[in-house]
Amino acid sequence: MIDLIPKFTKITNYRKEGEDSFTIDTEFNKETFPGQFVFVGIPEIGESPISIASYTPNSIKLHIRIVGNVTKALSKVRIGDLVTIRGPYGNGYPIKEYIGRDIVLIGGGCGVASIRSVADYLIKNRKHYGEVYMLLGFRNEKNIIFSYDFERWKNVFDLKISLDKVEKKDTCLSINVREGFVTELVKDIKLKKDTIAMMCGPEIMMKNTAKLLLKMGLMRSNIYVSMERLMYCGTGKCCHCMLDNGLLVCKHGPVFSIEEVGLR
Amino acid sequence: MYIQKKTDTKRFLKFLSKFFDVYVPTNVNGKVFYKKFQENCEIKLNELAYYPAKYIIFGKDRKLFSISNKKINVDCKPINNIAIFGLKLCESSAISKFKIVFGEDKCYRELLNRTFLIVYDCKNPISDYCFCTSPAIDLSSEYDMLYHDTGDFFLVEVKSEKAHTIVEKSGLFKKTNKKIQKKLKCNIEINMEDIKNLNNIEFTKEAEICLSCTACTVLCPTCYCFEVFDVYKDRSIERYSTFSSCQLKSFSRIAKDVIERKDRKSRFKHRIMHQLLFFRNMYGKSLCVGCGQCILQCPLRINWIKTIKGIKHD
Repeated sequence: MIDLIPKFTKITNYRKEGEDSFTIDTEFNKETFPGQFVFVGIPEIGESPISIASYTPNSIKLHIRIVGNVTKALSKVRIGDLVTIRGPYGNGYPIKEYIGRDIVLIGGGCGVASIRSVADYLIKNRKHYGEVYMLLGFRNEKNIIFSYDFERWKNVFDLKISLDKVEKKDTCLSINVREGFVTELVKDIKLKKDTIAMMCGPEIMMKNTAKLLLKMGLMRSNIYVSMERLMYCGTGKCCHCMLDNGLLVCKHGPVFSIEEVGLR
Repeated sequence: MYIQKKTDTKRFLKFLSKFFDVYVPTNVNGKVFYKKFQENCEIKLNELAYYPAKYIIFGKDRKLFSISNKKINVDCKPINNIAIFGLKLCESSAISKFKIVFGEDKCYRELLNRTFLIVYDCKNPISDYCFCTSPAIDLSSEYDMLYHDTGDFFLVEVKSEKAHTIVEKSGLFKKTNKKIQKKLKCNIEINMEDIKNLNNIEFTKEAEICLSCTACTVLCPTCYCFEVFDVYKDRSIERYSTFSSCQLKSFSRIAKDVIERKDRKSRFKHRIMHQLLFFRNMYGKSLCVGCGQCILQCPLRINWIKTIKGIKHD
């Protein structure tokens, strides 16, 4: 299958991120959109679908958590090494459809990587949108990712951070941290009913946050989640990412409205 | 329309062997398998092949490309031209479903262009579990020739240009004005009303006895789900795709061993929903061709159609 053919791409940056994760930057000359993903891999080991964590020309940032053989092998790459990349795949967040509206971005754990790409887009197009809230939740201090972006985001968005459990009193962050789930951050803000919500994180977090947003008066069709499933092709053919309603995460998603996927 | 004397059919297959690797359904220890044609072989036309034609045409494992010295090499050229004689209409339709899914791909198109499909028309349902004449089942297919058994001779419909050339060259067919009378009607049929109600159906009784052996997906002529793996061979890495099964727990495993469809009931239902509804939502036709193999070959003969039709299980 021609669309499964990757390209060898050079790593231009490598950075240890959370407790068991890292971020790489690679050259990438195709146009991407926030919310899309690529397959990154090492021949003979395999490939993994990873969200693009940036919106920048000619390069992409990928945040990878070590969960199996492929991601373990990728953690050993360094600047100048070659990995295989193919994509981008998926539909991306429908951010262009909501010019003028208030946006609330909610990221949980590794999901913050996907949300980061929307943040990049909004910074470039800030004047076209209303209030932008950026609510990020992490398990604990060791699992905070992209802390080096917080100062930059603080200047443009209403940024709030929560930690499920605060282990150290002094987090060395230039921003206040609230203890609790990210839903506590949502409760703290007054959202207009036509606010658009875009979320990425563990499914239980997205489900609970969506329920809360619905209670706050947001519409089902305006709450978006980014899903993840096992994938081999990324083009809607291998069927591993098919949801129980027949939609394919790689082709019809990974971003879906709550109206499309419901709350399970 | 053409006529062929029954005594000329094997002579035709021998002629075809000059241009194709010809596969015919033959008896192997009581089951029917597609094997390469030999003159002394016994061709069995009144049963469905155990392993569907998809394995003959696409292979169980398909090489996608190889990587050596950081260069990716794609070789689209299939090894041989393949002709299959004695396919049923359902099997031929199954190959057309593959074309719907994979047809945009150059390599798949190359493969399908090198196949020659000769369908054997069923006069009666092959088993009690056939439901190909159902309104909810799409049986449209692209085949090259169709053989209709009249008892005394074959009435042969010649569809493709390729087939016309071969028929003329062989000299083993005579033109006729006779027409094929199609009377096939299956004992059970799934209607569009049944499809509308499908989401509300729970396959509880089926899931209680299902073993998740995956026979239904392996022996299904249309199941196309696949996975990808790499093999190190001769100083290069070869990437293959291979058929996989949604009936296995690992099919829907997300990272770190979270299983999306953990329970058997949801996996059982998922296959049927994909075959009858989801594929239709995406491509406008059923994926299922109504061959009934998933029931006939199931070790427990789990008849899920009974649940759809509201018929009591034994």
